[in-house]
Amino acid sequence: MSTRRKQNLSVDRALLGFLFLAAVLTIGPFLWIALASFKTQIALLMGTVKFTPVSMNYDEVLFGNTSTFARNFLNSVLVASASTMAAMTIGFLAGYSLLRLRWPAWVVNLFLLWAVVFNLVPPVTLAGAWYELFRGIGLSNDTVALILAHTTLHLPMALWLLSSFLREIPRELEEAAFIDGASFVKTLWRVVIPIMMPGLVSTGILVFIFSWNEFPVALALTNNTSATVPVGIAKFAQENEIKYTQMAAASVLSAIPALLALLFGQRYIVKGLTAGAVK
Amino acid sequence: MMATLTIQSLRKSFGAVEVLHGLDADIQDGEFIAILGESGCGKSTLLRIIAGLEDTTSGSICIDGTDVTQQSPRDRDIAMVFQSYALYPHMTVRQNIDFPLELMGIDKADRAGRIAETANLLNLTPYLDRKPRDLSGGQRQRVAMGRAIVREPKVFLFDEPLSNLDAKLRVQMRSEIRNLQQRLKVTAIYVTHDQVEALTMADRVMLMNKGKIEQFAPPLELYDHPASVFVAGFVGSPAMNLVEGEVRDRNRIMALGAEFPYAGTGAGEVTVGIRPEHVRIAEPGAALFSGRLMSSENTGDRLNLLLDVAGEAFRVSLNERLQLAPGDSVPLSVPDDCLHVFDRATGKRI
Amino acid sequence: MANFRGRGSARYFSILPAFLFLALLSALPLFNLFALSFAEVSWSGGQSTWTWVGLNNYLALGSDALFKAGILNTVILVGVATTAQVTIGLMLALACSRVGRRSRIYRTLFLLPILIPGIIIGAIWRLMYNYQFGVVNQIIDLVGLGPVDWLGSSSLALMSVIIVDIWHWTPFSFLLLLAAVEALPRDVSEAAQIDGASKWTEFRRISLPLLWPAIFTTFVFRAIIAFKVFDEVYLLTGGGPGTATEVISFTIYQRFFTQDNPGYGSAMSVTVIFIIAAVIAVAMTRQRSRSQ
Repeated sequence: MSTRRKQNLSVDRALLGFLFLAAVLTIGPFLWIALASFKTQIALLMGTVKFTPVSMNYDEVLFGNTSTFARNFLNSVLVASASTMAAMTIGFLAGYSLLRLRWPAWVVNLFLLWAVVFNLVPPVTLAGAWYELFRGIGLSNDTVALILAHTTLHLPMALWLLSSFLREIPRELEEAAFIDGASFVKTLWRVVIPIMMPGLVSTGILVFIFSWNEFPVALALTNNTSATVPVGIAKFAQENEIKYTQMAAASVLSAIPALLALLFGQRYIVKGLTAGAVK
Repeated sequence: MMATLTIQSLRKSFGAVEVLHGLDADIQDGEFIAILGESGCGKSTLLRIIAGLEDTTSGSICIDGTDVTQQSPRDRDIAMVFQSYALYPHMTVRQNIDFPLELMGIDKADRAGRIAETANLLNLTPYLDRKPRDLSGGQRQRVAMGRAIVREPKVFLFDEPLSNLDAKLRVQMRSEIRNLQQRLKVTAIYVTHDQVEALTMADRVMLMNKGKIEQFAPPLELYDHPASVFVAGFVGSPAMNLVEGEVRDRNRIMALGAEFPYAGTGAGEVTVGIRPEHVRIAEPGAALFSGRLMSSENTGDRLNLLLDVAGEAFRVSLNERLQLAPGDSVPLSVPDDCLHVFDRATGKRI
Repeated sequence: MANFRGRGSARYFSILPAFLFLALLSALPLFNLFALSFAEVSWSGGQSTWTWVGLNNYLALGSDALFKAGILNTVILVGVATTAQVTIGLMLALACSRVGRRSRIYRTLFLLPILIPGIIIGAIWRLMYNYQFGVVNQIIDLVGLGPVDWLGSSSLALMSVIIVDIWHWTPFSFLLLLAAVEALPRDVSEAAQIDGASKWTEFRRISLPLLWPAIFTTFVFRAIIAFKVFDEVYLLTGGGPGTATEVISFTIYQRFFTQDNPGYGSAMSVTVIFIIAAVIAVAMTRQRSRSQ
């Protein structure tokens, strides 16, 4: 018994070591880039280990005359917030409708099939199609176009996730509310939405992050003034081939939503990511 | 706050399948009605139609003389206790009970008074600020009751409210619900698959089978005068013995290889029902028929025998203790008025 | 409206916005894309003119070296990266599940790469792979190797991209597989242990077969996403050197936006969509026949 316990202990120790190594490999690049963002260009090129941290990279990225980062950041906040709100609202209503309001099976299947098939399509192919469409109807506001595109892009995911969370709510609760005298809207607002709040938060965080991160469609549909953070970074990297430390600073700044989400919503992210795939 | 409820030629189909085949029933002010039946007999559908959670295919529902068939649940002035209780998990007990009042637009002071009163009635006062997940099964059940009675509705609907409780609590809640209903004098409709619940709680029992009402009568009448073979077989435990028989010369029935005197109006092929508890061990020489003992079980207060009578399995339930061994021949008799006779073709009582 | 179920107009209003997005912003553009793939588009004075060219766009694909390179590189990347991600992900998931609570911090940390914009991942690794000062070369220098031109050498570039993809997406496989591992019924493995199975036998004969559907799902899921790879490549190599890291999304993007040749780009898109759909259909049927 005791040898067996010892054996188990050493196995556990080996596994913890393995996990620790994986964690170092995961976090390492972020630490390295974070360090680089506080270095001077020369310190980085020299490969110095000990250095005096400077904030000039951040100053330049955020407030520099030629830097578009602040504007990119605002664009991203606007696009991600608006498309998240839209995708969540539309996805919630559609999910509720499909699950609860007795649509014929083919309607339900049509939407579910769409949600699945749509995921197969590379966004780049849609970027081309949307570009042609928006150009065709003369939609000149890039930001509005991008919000529409991101809403479309993430609506299937929102619909899929919200449906799986909705499915967990017993129908009887809604029936009870209805008998208690609640209207359709009141039932949603006072009973369904509060109960599925964790699911809504999960979906919201994920859609926001995905929209924030989205690159090819944003690249296709925006210009210099309407560019989002990923587009801004890409342009910056291409145009200023050698401003490595500023690129590092910009990278750190654009990871902020991800870090915030991880810090405050880790539980919700896991819930959302697994619910989407497993169900 | 009393109400009559009238159901007229009510039909319900899901797609091509008809699950309720034209039901009619009149329910009086303040009556406690149990709808009894096996799962799938349509009892829950009927309750949900009365609640307004399902449409009717045809027919009508009237509450207090008003046709409510086209009304939404909230206009029907009904309250319902669900099998799962359907308590709002994000609200406290107080908020759960308050929710219907708030939706009725009652002002806050009145609401507080009514909540306190209801909580007091159901012994929920110490738990008002807890969430449902922090309550025991019995307490949740009481909150569900509270949410229903606080509105003072015209009709109470219960959908198997006790099936999630353990046996002991179920017996206790049975009388609590019954007492409460009698105190409040509200018409109540109670769906259950448990005949003991139905027979002990209800003023009248509506026994349903395959979307039809088999019998709608006071509990003892179901037991004493079952209207059909189905009712006869359903009500009573152990179940009634149902055997094939034939009426001869309008005065005797041949069944179980024996002859029973008969004074009824039936003729020809019939089904004969004999309750196990009405069978007696006959004095030597006075036996109407006899059986060979196959097995017996003693529950302390009763002795249940399984016999082979003329090749048919036959149950007998006695309240005396006897020393019997499998294979023994047991002489039996039945009082004349304890024979239930049904038309074999229609299954109806004759 | 009387009844609870129909809820009248609410039923239609609730589905309408989703339907509009489905019809106008995904079905219509995809249909448009399909139509466009049989045409050539020319612009003059803000007016576009479509000239029908039949199957010409599709026929041209056969002799397009970039398209072939794009498909080939993408398939290699999807195959290698996805296999590695699922394997490492499974190992991490089993390890986390085994050590239980003590792995909580790791479960959190592993989420990070999933949430970071792909383009930033590209930027980070571009700096790390840098010939002069990149940390990768600094590390191999410690053991007396290097420096290596990770992104500039046509024999190494694709592998370097694949390493980034593995780093980026292993956590996602890990997460999905962890959910599956944690959902394994405990009594089954206990029964196997009582039956005298060793840990390894128990894993191979009990756990692995039970995990198989989850492994398959994760693989398909990852492969679908990997097929769309674009962001990291865009910054890491831009498809170069030569066509060494040309991936299919990149090829399509260039047809549409760099060369403004939407007809040809559409034909490429339609072909790719069909390839993905076909591969998934085949995989699904095989998985189904296997599980029966």
